[in-house]
Amino acid sequence: MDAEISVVRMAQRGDLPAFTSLVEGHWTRLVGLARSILGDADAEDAVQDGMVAVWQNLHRLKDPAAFTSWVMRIVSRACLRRVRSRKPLVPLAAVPEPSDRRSATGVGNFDVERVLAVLAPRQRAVMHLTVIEGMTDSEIGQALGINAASVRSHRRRARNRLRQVLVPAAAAEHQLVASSWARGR
Amino acid sequence: MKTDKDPLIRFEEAWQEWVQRPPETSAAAGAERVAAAVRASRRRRRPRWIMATAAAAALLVAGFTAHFVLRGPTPPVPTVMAPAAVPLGAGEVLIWLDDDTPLYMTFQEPTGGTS
Repeated sequence: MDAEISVVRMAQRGDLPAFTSLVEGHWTRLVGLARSILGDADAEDAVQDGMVAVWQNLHRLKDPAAFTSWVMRIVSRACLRRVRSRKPLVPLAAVPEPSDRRSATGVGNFDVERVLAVLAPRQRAVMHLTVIEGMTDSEIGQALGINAASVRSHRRRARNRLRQVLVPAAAAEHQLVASSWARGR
Repeated sequence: MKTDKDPLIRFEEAWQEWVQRPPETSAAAGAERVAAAVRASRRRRRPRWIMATAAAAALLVAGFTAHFVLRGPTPPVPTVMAPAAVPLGAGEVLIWLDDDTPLYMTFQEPTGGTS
């Protein structure tokens, strides 16, 4: 952590190679966050845009120890801006089911991107930081620039929405397994 | 049985796996992309600085031009009358203190008393 703080200070003084090393250290984690908010297609471009904004605003970072959460906030905003500039997403119900039901609802086989599309972008960000990063509510609030109560509200709504989508799929899966047993496979 | 597990928990596990796939661009290559984008954004900024300087210079030129054009014709400088052109009577003397300031003096015959 101390090593990163000194690199952040060097980058704040305009040292581009120091900044590049910070980007390299955070790249994979930030692409993961961007994937959850945007999907695979635009994730890396959004991280690139976000990191250019980080460079341009480095002088505003007062506490180098808070670099990671500060970067996550900027990259999240870059992702949310991209989402707003896109055409509205098609709701999951409007997307035709694949002809082979087993490939869509097989055991543990989720089309994660398709399921995440039912959530609002900010809900995806909150859920990512909860489920994938394991952050606390106040850390998530700092990363997204919202208060802890808003974090809890977004998470509750996101989980309710996911259950609405996933539980019928799980019920269909049970039916598939039950009918396989009945035919004596 | 796997299918009995809470579907939300199963989804979150699948999500972990999905997110943790290696990015298409490696971390080193991604960092280079960002550095190139930062350098390109610096180059894009320079023309704005040049334009700002050009605008300031244009304002300066416009200001000077307006000052000299709008000031109007300069007021006529008073002509200095050559001494020979000024009619002087007897006993009158004209002395030019400077180009603009004539001094007329008149000498009179003393009428009495001591000088």
